[in-house]
Amino acid sequence: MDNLLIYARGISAKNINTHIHTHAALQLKMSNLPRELIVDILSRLPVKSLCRFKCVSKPWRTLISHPDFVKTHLHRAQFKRLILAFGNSLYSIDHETSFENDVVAVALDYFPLDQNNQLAIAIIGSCNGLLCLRSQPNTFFVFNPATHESARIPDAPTPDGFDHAILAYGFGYAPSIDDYKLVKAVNAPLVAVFSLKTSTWKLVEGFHCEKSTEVWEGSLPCGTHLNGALHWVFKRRGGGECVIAAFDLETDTFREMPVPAISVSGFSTGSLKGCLCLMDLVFGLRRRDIWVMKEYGVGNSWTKILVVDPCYEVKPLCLWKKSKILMTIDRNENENENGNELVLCNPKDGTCKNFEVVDIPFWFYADTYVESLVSPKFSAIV
Amino acid sequence: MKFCAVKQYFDDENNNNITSGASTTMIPLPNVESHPLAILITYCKKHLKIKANNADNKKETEKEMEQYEQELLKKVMPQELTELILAANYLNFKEALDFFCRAVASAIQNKSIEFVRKFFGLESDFELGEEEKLREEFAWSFEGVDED
Repeated sequence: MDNLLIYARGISAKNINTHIHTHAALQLKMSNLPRELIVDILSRLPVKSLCRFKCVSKPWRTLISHPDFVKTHLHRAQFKRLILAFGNSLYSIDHETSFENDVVAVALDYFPLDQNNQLAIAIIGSCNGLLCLRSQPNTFFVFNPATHESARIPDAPTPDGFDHAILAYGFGYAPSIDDYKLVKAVNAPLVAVFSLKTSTWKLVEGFHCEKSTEVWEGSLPCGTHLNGALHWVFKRRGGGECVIAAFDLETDTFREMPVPAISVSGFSTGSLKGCLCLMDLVFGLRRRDIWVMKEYGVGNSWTKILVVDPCYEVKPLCLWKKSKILMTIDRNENENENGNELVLCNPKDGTCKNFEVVDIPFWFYADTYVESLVSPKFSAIV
Repeated sequence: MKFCAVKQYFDDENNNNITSGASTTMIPLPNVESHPLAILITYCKKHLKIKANNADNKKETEKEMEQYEQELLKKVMPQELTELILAANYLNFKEALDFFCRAVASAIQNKSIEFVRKFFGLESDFELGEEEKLREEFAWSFEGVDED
């Protein structure tokens, strides 16, 4: 090894066979790259390349599968995509799509769904490249669309009738304990929490609230994951006023935050640029406000950033090219169905442009995800 | 000063109170060869020049820098990139290191296992059958890969 290093510095090496020619010499230099530089280079690669490069050599397989590398790669969060769930299928769209013409989505046909399942997939949550999906009735999966890995979450050992009284779901990540959790909140004061790390369910105290009359069985609200907590808007029992219930994923306890305005029908939640968003849920085809909580937890930092043209429901997905907001808007005239369209909105002047996704009609769940190497498998085998 | 390792040397010199009446101070850089050093110096000068020209306009700086980088990449052989990375790392020249690592990542992103092994001078050390098993497990990641 020492002989090779001397050659690399260009000092004449009389101890090495003279028939090593320049090409081979350059290769030798590349293998001198210290580990941290190899990590620097590899952490910039997309997941597909990294999975393939696990086959290069044993050290590379170990390096790429190592939790530290997974974190470094995730930190760059270079490759973002949109995920659409339509009917029994999943599709993904490149985040940097120009949205000039119709959008083309890639079908994710490797998700292991029971083909007999006639009911629709719902996206419960997305964090660090892991998606939590519900295929009805009440079967949950954690899925990484970039690595193609998935794992089914075991059924919750909850009392009879629990599943019928579910108020809301949520899936999020608690950085302080490095754990992902699926949460089912019910009307009775109980919450069932599944921890991916320990692979166990537990029941904890819930939030005392009223079941919102606006919510129907088909689309229960999914909490917004932010700052290590899940957020829903509930109506306080008896009083009828709305409040944000934030479920801390480290301590498994609730705390409250105020809403921006009085609303009889409550709000749906979302997030934009790392801030919590609320959209009013008043029933019917009407203009809707989008509020952003500029300072987390501070009630008077609520700011109305946009009023959207008449629709039934609106959900912001993400900031697009740093200036526009990508969202889904339901303007479907047919009141018996949800009809979601992808819309790109300019918050400066309120102009919106909607896009059709080739081969996917309206009525889909949408969310964003980042491509990562995080594994949904509970025992995190390297 | 962008070459942080060199800056360190100057700081040390000042601390030792060595009077350098001569304007030519020899700074030993045993781990950097002349060819990559020349490229890094040009890169650095260009970077500072572009920054000065577009003092307030960060976007213009980025754009011009990108154009220069594209031109530079055309003249550099992929294998030369290692020398440049090692030199930039030794000199602690962050912008250049970032750029050249990005360039290598881009160069290998869609390549085959064999190409990557050759590029980094690596050999397969898997046991019999181990590699096949892995290739099967990640078969989907081999689709659409550039031909060697």
